[in-house]
Amino acid sequence: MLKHIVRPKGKVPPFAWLAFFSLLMLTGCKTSVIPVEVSVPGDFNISGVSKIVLADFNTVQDDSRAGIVAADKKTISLVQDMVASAFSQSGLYQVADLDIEKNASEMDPDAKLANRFDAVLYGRLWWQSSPDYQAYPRVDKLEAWRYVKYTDYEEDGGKSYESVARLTTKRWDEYALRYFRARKASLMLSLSLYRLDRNGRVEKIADTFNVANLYYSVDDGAFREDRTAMTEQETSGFLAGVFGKALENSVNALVESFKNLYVVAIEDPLKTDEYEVSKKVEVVRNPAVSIPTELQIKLMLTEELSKQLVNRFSPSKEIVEIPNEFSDSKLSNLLGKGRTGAGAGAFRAAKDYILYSVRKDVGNKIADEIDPLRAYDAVPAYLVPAKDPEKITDAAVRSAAGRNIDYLYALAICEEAQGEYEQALNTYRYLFYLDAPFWTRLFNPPEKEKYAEGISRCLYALRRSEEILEKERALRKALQKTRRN
Amino acid sequence: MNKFFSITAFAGILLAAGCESTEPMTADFTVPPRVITNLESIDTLEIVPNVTLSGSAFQNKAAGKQLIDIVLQQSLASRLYQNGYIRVVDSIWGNVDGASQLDGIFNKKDSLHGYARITTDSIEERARLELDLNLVLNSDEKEMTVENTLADVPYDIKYRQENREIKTDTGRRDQNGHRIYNRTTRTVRVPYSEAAPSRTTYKTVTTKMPVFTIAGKGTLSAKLVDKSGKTVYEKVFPDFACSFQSPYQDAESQDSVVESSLNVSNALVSALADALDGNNSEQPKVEIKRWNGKARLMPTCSEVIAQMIFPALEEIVKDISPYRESRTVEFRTDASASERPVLLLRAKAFMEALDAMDGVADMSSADYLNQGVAYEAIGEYLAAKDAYDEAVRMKPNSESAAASKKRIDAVLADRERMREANAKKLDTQFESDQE
Repeated sequence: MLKHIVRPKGKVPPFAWLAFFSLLMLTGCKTSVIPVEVSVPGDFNISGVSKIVLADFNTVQDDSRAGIVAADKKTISLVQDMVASAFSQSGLYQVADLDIEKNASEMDPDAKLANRFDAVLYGRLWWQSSPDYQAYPRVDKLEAWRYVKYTDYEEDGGKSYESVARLTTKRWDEYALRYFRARKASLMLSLSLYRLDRNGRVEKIADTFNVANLYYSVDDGAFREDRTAMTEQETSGFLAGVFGKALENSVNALVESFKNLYVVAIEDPLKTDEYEVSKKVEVVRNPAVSIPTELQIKLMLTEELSKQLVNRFSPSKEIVEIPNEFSDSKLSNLLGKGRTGAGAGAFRAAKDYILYSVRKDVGNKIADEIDPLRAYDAVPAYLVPAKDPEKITDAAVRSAAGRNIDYLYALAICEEAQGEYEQALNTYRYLFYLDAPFWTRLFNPPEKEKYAEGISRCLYALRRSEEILEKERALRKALQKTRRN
Repeated sequence: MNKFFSITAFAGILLAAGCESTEPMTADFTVPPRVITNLESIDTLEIVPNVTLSGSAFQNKAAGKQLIDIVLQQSLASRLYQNGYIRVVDSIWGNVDGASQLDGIFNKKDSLHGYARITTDSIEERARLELDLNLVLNSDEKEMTVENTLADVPYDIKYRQENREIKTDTGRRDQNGHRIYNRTTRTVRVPYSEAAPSRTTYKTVTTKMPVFTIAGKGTLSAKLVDKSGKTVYEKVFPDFACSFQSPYQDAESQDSVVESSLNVSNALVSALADALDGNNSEQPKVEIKRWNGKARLMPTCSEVIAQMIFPALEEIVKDISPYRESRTVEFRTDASASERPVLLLRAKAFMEALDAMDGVADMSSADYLNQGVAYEAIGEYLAAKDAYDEAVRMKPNSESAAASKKRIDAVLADRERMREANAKKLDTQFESDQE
């Protein structure tokens, strides 16, 4: 629905606006969307962490019979580097390299750290690998035949000709052993993240345990692989309900689970190529493939695991499309250009434009009373033509905010798009609870459903924040107290 | 038109007609712990695993024990941290010596980044979760004997007479201009082959092959002692087990084997079928044995351990900590007191919806139902029950309120049963300890 913003001059009679409004609705307006990148919180609340240092990872004791191999120094270093790289690439955290920083400070005594680390990540890992060379019996069906000539006749004219029939002379079962080669590897990594306060006191804020598995096999000439990373969440569903069932069912469930891990077949690469082949020559294809080396497997497992871990620690991003229904064409254009990454500047520009437009309409003094605008500096006086009223009443503020409700909604969208969730939440809340005078609401109808959605999105982005948890705890305490009384 | 007016008008019409307007909502609900009632008494926790390991899988029992200790502690701590209500002390946090070691590492590197020292508060007041795991894990390679019956079906070449219709052009045409043919028949001796069931032979091949097995079984007991030293939770997960074998014979392959055997020849179908059924008196009874193998990628030992104990850990977490679960419930869209709570509920902002309800005067049955939904969503089941009760009291014939009340009553009754079972177990344990 297209809306308009009533300017303070307000000389246009209301019915004219209504007529215009109805006309626009009748002609049908195509609305664009504003893509807003919203944050989906990770599994853990690690707010307040910006620079992480990795304490040297550790491993466990060896037990080769059980297939457990203590990770050697190289593997540990590899995993540490991969984890550090994944955290750095997330763009949300810096990873401190203490050696480089120390060298830099030694080279230049004046060099000072821009910021110090505020979290320590400690991990333990171990590695398992179990090569299998086995065989299993299969029964194949074989057939022998011979060709027998006989005389037949053409239907048209009855001319005789010699025909040949392919006749089975014997069919029998042959027993054979199928050989297969397989390799199963797991990399297990447990990570603990500790936050440091300004006095160097640690507090554990996350603990995680992840397993990445790789399966390879060459079975009867066919190559198969599957790579899975097993997390607590997945595994909880993986075998949910096994308990309480009979042993047989449990085993079947496990067998089924593993069967599923064994189904991803890689297409024979030769099949996808086209060959120019003479009809008389048959192509002999060699489907032999090799199982990756230990180092390759380690690299793949580490990559898989570190990616997954960082996803658990870091918020991920999702794009929410908000209808661009603003009647101010300049604002609409700016928001329409809003994109993530390089286009994010459009939101900044839109924000400046909103702040300028509102203050131009209501004046600086009233603007300062509109809560969401308090976070922003006043625009220069020469850009503010609206005069400040002599007396500022609550009704005047509510009326001014109500008149500019679309601009304020756009401001909330910009704040959300720029990741300023707390500020956006404040703005959405202000709009949601704003009780503008009747006539202002009539011509600038608030869209409370959209504001409620904004509140929900921001709360979700901040879901694990201390503020929200604190609120829940306070409520719980209050309820318990009420019950006791 | 303002949405509020439309909602109010619509609600008014519905109310006048005695109808209820409801809307389903699926959201992640916070579910309170199933057994523990006082979360604050266990919100800082120490996990103490005690593993007894036997069986052939681990040669180095100490290594196996260390591995299982880590799996138990880390996977449980990870689940608890993910829920965000219980924190787990470890060798660094809450442990002054551990933190001091960490401090030493950075100090040695001369990289303390301006921190005077890295330290931790000594957390003396902590609950203890004792996990006793008794695990037997065997990993063996043994020789297995399998039998397969192989059929050898000879075929005889025979001849049959077939007639061919031959048409010869007479050189004449009919009134329509079409050629006129003479039609004659010639007999052809066509060869064919036929299975000879009477001469079919069977032999059974016996093969010895290596089979790898990995099998585990165990029992896990959990005991939770709160900060004051009182045992508040006990649970035993008895006799969990799993086993794997490779190669293995699967049921599907067995069925298909019989079928493919029958496909050997049409003539053999009846012979084999009869042999299998033992019906044909003319044919010798043949016992068809099939063991068609299939390769399996075997799990590693620690994976098997994880698979066995993870479901138990999941249960423990649900018993002691709030957790999240996706649920679908209905709320009322015709709540008359204020539109705000309805809009916030629809947007799944539950805490916010409760805040919005605070200022609402003259709550209706629909308002109370919505309040109950919001309380239920944030895991406050008792408050939700009160709200649903009030909704039913105000409007006894409300279907949605009755359904919500029934739902929460069932959940609370279920929890009460679990808590009673836990209390009973604790009493029994206490009595046996006294003895």
